[in-house]
Amino acid sequence: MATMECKIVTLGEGRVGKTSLALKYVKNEFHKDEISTVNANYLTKLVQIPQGSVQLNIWDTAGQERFRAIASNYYRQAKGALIVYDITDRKSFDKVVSWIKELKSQAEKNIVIVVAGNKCDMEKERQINRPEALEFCRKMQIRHFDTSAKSGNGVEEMFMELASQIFEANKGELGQSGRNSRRGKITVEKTKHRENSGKKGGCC
Amino acid sequence: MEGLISQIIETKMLLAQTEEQCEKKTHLLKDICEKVATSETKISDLSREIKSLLKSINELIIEKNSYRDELEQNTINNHHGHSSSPYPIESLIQVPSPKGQKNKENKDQFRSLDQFLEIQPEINGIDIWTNLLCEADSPQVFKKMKKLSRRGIPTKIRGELWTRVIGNDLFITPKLFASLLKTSQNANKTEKEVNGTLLIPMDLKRTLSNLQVFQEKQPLHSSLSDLLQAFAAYRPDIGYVQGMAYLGAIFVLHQNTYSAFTSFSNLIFKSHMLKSFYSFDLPIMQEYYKVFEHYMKKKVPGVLKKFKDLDITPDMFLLEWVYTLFSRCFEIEYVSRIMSLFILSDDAFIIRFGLAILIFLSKKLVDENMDAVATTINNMVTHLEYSQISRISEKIKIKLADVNKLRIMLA
Repeated sequence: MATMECKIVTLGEGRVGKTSLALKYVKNEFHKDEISTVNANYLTKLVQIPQGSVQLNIWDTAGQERFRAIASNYYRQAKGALIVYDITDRKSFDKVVSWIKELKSQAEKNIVIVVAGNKCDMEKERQINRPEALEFCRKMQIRHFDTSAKSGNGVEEMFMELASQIFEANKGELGQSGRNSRRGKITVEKTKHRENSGKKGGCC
Repeated sequence: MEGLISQIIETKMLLAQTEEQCEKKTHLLKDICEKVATSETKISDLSREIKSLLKSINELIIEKNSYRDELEQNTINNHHGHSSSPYPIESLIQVPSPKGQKNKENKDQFRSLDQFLEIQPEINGIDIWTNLLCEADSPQVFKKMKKLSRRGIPTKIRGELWTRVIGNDLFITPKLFASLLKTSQNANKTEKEVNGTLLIPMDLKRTLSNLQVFQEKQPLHSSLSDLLQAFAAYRPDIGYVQGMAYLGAIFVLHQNTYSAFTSFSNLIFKSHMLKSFYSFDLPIMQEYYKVFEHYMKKKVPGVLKKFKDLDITPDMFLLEWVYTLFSRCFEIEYVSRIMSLFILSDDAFIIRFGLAILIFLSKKLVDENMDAVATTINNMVTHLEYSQISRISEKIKIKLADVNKLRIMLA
C-alpha cells in the first residue's frame, strides 16, 4: 500500500501547548509542565486513513516570538501546519491570524492548515468565544478544532483530518514516480508496524 | 505639589539626557568594535577606548535607572502617598566566605544539591586548584588548569574558577546589578512581553525540573529568575530567549547570584557564537551551520546523508546545543564539566563536542529507521555517554582559527 510521507509543523505563541498536543497524539503522554521547546522537536507517526496511510513527520517549533525569524526553516516544504492557540489567552489567538498570513504568503501553495483552540478543559477561563473562532476559521476556509492535550479531547480527530486533507491535496503525486523529490516523497512499501514507538497505538 | 511636579519634569529631562547619552555611547562602541575588525588603528588604543566606554555606559545605565525609579516613585507618591522600600544591595550579594566555609544555613539548604553535584572524589585536591587559581592569569597556569580540568574540577572550586577564567570585561559591578534588578522589577507587562521576560516564571518551572531547585519556592528559584531578569534589563536588545534558563542554571548552581550574573553576561559576550545566536544574527548563524555541516561531511558523512534524507539540517540541533551548552543532552553533573571545558577553551569546543556526539551516535543514526532517529534526536539524554563523548571530542583537532577561516570561506 502506498504511504505518503509528509512534513507538518506546529506553530503558535509560546506556552499554548504545541508540544503537548503533538506528544499526546504521538505518544499519548501528557506532562503538566512540559519542558519549553528550544528551537524545535521532531516527532513522527504513521496514520491510517480510509484512503491510505500517511506518515506524519511533525516538526514541533518553539513558540517564543524571537524564534519566529527561524520558523521558516521549518515550514518550508511542509505539507501541513497546525496552528495552536490557548482559549484562555486572547493574545495567542491574535497570533493565529498573523501565522495564517505568513503561511499563505511564504509556505508551499497547497499547504493544509488547521487551527486548534487548545486547553478546552479550562472552559471557565475561556477568553475567546467559540463562535468568533469558528467564524474566523470558516472565512479562512480552515478547519477549527477544540482540543485538550490534557484530556485528549479532539486531538486524534484533528490529526486525522490534517492527514486526510494532506492526502487529498497531494494524491496527484501518488500516481507519479515521485522518487525524485525528497520532501513529500511517496514510497511504496509495506505498511510498517512501528514496534518501538509508544505503548499505545491510539485508536486507528 | 508644584514643587513635586517641577521635580518630576526635571527628572524627566535628566532621564532623557542620560538615555540619549547612553545611546550615543552605545553607538560609538559599536563603531569602534567595527573598527577593530577593519582598520589599522592600534588595537591597544581601541581596546582602551572600548574599556572606558563600557565603564561609562554601565554608569549611565545606573543613572538612567535611578531617574526612572525616581519618576516612578514620584508618580506613586503623587497617587497614593506611599513609597516602596529601597532594595538593599547587600541582600543581593552573598559574599562568598573564604576557603569554602559556607554559612551554615546555606549549607544545610544545599546539602543535597552538593551531594548531587559531587560525582568524583576530589582527586585533584582543592589545594592544588586553590593555588592555581591565584595565578590564573599566567598562560602556563592556564594551560595546566586546562589539562587538569579534563579529570574533573572539585565542585567547590568550579564557581571560583569560572569567575576567574571568564573575567569581567564588561565591568559589571554590584551596583549595576542592583540597579538592573530594580528596573526589571518595575517593568510593565508590555515591556516584559517585548523582551521576553514574561516567559521566565513559566520556563523556570520546567528548567531541570528533576533537580527540584529552580521551581517556585525552591532554593535557587529567585537566584535564576533574578539573573535572567537582570540580563534582559541589561541587554533589552537580546532580552530573554528560551534556552537561556539552562545556561543561567549552570552558573546559579555554582555561584552566588551576582557572580553568576557576571559570569553569564561576560560569557555570552565573550563567545562570538553565543552572542550571535542569542541575538539571532541570522547570517552569522548560517555561517556556523555551514561550518558544522562541512565538518559533518568530513567526520560523519553517513549521518549527514541520513539527515539530508530526513530533511534534518544542522540548525535543528546546533541551535539548542549552543543555547543550552548541551545541558539538555546530559545529566546535570556532566553539564557543569562541559561548562568548565568550554570556558577553558573557546567556541571551537562547541563544534568539537557536537561532532563528538554525532560520532558517538553515528551507528545508531545511520542504521535506524526514521522513528528511531527522531526519538534519538529528541531524547539525547538517554543515549549519550559523557565519558566516551568527551574522549572522542578530545581527539578532534579543530581550532578556533580553523572555524573562523571556514566561516569566511564558506560564506
